[in-house]
Amino acid sequence: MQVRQQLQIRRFHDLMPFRVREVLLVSSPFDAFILEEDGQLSEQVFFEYRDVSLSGPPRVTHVPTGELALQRLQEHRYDLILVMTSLADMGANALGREIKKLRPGRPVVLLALDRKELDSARSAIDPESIDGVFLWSGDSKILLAIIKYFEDRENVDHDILHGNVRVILLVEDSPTYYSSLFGTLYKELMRQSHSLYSEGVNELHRRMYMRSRPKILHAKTYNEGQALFHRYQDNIIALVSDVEIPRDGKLDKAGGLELVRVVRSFDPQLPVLLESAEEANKSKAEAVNATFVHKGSGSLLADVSNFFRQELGFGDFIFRTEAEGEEVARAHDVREFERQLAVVPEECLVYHASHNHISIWLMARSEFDLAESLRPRRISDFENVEALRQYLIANLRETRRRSYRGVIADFSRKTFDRDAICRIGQGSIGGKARGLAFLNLTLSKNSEDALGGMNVSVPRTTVITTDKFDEFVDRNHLRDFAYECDDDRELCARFLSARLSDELHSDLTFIAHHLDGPLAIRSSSLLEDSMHQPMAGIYSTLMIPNRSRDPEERLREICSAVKLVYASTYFRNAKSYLNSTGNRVEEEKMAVIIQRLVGQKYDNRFYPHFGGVAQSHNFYPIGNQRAEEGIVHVALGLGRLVVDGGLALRFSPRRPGILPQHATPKLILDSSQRDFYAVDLDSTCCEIDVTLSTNVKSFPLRVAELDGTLLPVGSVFSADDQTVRDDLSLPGPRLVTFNNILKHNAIPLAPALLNLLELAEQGLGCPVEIEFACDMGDWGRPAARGRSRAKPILYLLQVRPSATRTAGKEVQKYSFTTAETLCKSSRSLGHGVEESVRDVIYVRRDRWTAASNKKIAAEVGELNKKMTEAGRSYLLVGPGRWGTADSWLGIPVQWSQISNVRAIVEASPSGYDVEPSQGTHFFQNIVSLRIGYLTLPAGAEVPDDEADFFDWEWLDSQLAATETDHLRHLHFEQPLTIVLDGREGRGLIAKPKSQP
Amino acid sequence: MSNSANEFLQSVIAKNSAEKEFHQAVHEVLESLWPIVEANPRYRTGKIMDRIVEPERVIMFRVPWVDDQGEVQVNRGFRIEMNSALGPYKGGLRFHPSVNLGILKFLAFEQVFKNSLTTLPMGGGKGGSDFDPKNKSDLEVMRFCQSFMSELFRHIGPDTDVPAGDIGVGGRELGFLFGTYKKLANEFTGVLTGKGRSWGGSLIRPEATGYGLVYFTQEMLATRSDSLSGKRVLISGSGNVAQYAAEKVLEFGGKVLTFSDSNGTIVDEEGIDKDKLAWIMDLKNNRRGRIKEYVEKYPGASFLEGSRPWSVKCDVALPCATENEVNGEDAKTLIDNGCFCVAEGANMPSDPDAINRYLEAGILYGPGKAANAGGVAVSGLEMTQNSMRLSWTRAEVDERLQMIMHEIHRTCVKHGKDGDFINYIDGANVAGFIKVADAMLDQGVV
Repeated sequence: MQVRQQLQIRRFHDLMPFRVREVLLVSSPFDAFILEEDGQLSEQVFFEYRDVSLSGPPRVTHVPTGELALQRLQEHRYDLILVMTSLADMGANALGREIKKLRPGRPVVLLALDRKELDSARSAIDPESIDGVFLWSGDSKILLAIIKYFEDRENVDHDILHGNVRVILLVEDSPTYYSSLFGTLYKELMRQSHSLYSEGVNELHRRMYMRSRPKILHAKTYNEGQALFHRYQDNIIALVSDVEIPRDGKLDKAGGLELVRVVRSFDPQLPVLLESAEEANKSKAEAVNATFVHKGSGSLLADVSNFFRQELGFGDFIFRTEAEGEEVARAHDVREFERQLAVVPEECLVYHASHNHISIWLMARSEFDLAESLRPRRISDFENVEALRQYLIANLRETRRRSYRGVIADFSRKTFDRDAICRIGQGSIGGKARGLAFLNLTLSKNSEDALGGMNVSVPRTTVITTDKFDEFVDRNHLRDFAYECDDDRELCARFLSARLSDELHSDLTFIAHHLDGPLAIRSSSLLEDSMHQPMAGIYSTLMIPNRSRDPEERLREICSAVKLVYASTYFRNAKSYLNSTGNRVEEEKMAVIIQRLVGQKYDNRFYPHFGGVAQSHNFYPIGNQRAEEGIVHVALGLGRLVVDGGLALRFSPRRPGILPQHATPKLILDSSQRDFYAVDLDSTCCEIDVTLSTNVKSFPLRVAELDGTLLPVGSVFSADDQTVRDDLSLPGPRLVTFNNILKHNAIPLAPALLNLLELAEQGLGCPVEIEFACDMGDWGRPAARGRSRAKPILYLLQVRPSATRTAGKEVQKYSFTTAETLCKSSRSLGHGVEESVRDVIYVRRDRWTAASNKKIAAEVGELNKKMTEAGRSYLLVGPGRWGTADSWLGIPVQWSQISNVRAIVEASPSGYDVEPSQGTHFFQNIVSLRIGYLTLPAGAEVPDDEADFFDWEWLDSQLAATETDHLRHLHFEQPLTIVLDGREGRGLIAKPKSQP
Repeated sequence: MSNSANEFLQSVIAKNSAEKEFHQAVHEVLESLWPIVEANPRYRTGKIMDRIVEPERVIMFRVPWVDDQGEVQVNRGFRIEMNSALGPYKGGLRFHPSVNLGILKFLAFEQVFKNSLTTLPMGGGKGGSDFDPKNKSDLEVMRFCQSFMSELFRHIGPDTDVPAGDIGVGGRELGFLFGTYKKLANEFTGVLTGKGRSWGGSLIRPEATGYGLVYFTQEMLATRSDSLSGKRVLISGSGNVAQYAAEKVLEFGGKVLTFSDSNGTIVDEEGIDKDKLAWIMDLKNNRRGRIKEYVEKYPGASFLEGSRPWSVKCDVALPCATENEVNGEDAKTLIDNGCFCVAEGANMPSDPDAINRYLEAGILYGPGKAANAGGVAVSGLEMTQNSMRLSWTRAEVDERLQMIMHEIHRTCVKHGKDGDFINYIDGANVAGFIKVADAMLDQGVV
């Protein structure tokens, strides 16, 4: 009937849209008294719900008369109306009719207190007014059953469409029996649902599992039963029927048997339970392969419960070697089942597989897709029993992995090794972790094909939520100190000496014992990586070796690293940045990510084959590149080389074969990386070092070649042939070109990144940046003995919005002559007009050498401080990359040293042709704070009508307000005019009006 | 410039009005050569200057190709066959968006004299296209080269015109061009130089300029009955030219004191011996590091941050880094410190002020066009090996290189000697010209 949906836990969220929240009980006070013998009805319902771990028990409101009921219905919404047989002012049918007029569609149920009442009421029932008749047998479970029945009736079509849920069909015309049966059936269903609780990884997950329980549909006649069967036959998992049921208006003594025959013609294996008061029907039931229970049996309800366990796979899976044989093993949940599958004897497997027990049991646990995929398989399909075993284990594992993808689990020691992302605490997981969780969810919704054929994943991650940060800061009385302290080292020392809570310490102890290999301990603050505040690089990430044999030592490292990340919330740089964005330090809270580092171990080094940053918007498109096609920066080893602005390779994911940086061998020799970053596993961790980078060291390329990691990304320059060859067996300088990947498609990196950027951009609704790392597995070498070849995996580490600023004031057609122009650039970033800058700080060309860049950064910091105190912003001009970590490539300023800048011009002299800054943390922040950024080609000095230029001569001729060793600071009475057209990437700076 | 020279220049400008770069090249040549023309009537009657500034042939052609998106692109191709008086046309191909007729004629014109100076049988030419390989995929570059050669092939040949690489035409492009030529012409010949080693390229290409520089320097010193043995030698730069120059200086017993890069200069008063040189070669060629790392390895040395080597006391200076790296002040410092021989490994490393100081001081000065002709010479040696269908060993190529540098020097001396002083600038200029001019006269009005 409906389209089947692929089963994922997340869609269970949509199930059961109709819930009974309010029940109106219409009964005489005496009848209500009887019902409430065991306590107020609301309470009874509450306890019934609680006992089966259901949430949201409905409220029961009692009115003594039909008139009052109608009045109430006019004033309030009620989802279910229970009517007792004896009302003072009107009969049940009459009341039902009035209710239907007033509230069409609301279920009205007649509740009889005893059989006599029941029989009397039943014969007079108007089916248009009364939707069901039930017998109160003194057990409040019937209330639960009635509520659930009507919920199921309303929800079944929706839940099958959206969740492919299962259905149990009950065909019984006697209210006495079906009232009991409903109670028992729902009790079994709730018990089974409750047992699925442990399958959930977090509270929401668990709740959603419970919604996926089978629904019960009720028919009172053969005809109704047949119709329901045909309608829902794809989803029916069991039929429970009386043998004698009405058919075509008359009682058919074998109606149930006939119904079974109809059912069997469609599904010979469907579990069927037949009940009858006639013992003779037992053999007839067995003849149609149905289980038989005698209605008069004292163990009727227990027999029904057994039927569910044995035929429908409810409860534990009991491994036996044959029917009624000795129990060999038992599994309470799927995880345990997988573990037992690996070790139970072969005859067990054969027995259960040949009877479809595994499929049935999985079906009962809502693993519908897996159960259906297993059901048609036969033992003869497999080479041997061992192959069957491996097949089952592999499928189980894959199904669980897929269903848990995209979900943030609550930290649980039991499931720790299963969960991709889990959280410790109840607070927020912070911006970075949110991005990671989003990536995880995106991956769960997309196949490998949709990701360009690449295996993509997120590394194992645990998030300590922000409430733990608050707890730490408050318990240790650090807040005031942290706000005031201006010394990052002192901050670190104080935080390191403070104590984590016992609970957190205990959880981290578990992690230290169970998580081996280097770890990245990352900040994930509340404000981090939100739409307008990427805050890239403001807080800390530590990479810790985590290799000590002593778990206590590993625990100490982890705890220290967490504390240092906490401390970085209050570093000078961080406070400065927050202030400049209009945020308050008090608003900021820190979650911490503990993430398994991507890579492999080589001697005392640990690193991925390569890492980098992919951006969906390219701020500096070159040649045929287009801005909206994005850009990727990648480097061998840890991606830190990229984010620090080092010699990384940049390529367009849409045109990976075109590498402008590698246009000639000389360019490759000049621009390709010479060393790489790796975690030094021998280093000590987490001493007081505010750069927090002592564990990451730089190694030369020859080390990568010895490790074998240069192979996928390396090439050789042949001096004799003046050409680059992608063959490391040749002599010559080694180059990191990524030719094997980008030109020869060793792995589909470019299409994968392109697809991921598109997905992330759609998901976040803005241009994005994704940090990634890749482990090439056993690419280019044979697998280690005893295991299969490890495939390359692309790991996603972070996603954050990439702030492009094309909103804002519309750029009007400002027109300036060449003489009026100080700077003209066809590669600028930013959008808008700035007419308040009266100060220029620039690097003196006659004093500048690359060797002086570090000193220049310090001098800029000093002048920036003065400008900040004076409340003035300024234009900054100088060579190379601003903000690079490599002082030979540009001026290595930190954000706090230029916090009052309004626009920056990168203008290098001839011969100092450095690739423009892009994709670095520094640059990211420049963009998000709407700092104008103009880049000029090296040596562009002469004012020109056509080309980019900077009028140095004019600038040098102006009187300086201040001069330092390398800088000049000019102050003008009239402001400069800075015009930036973000749509076309053009920028212009006009001289102050009175000073042509 | 004399009136007659000026008139001649104006006529060239009038005839080639749009080609500003060519005007400049002719102007520079006229300044040094017109006196020779005036002093030798046969050059006037033979209208040598009129003929020499006119290319023998200019081929301009359409180069259509299809890019990766399936779009048709059209570029323009050129080959200027300037002068074949001494041998087949020889000169590089340049792929760059700035390429136009004027630039190529200017380069072709200079090439005639550069090649002549090598004393090898090579004429002069230049070619190229306004195609920009920088933002193209490998396949796009290949398609372009195939289209380019599909026209050019009918105009070139091992005995006709032998192009080589230049800006934008490296090993990759030469490979594509050669592959196409071979297919179209159905022959495997030495039609291009700069080929890969395994398919006809010559040995010691990277070393040639550096070795040649030192051979020339040795020849210069020999004119004063001196040699490199025991001499303090400053070398700037640290690329191929500098490295192999240093290697040869050590062979000749000299003491190399300095290397440099854009960050500064290292000075090793103990001398940079073979092992240290091997370390520098590994640093620069394999590890691609900075020269200042030398002082970490050899703490006895010092590093002059942001400085060139010229302040160090020396006997011989070999600038091998870049254009205009020696100014007048540097030259004065060198001379005051006792330097008596400067030979240029780079192109125009000494600015005009520095050159004047060398000449005024009367020291030995070998200009780049003569001293660094080793690279061009090896091109000719590749042609020779190709025609013989032989591959010489390193030693054989090196030996021939040395002979060529000896010849170049001899020719410069012949035309530059002025009493006891040898003006190598004039010598180089004149030598290159006279050889071409006389050959043109011999071959009639063609």
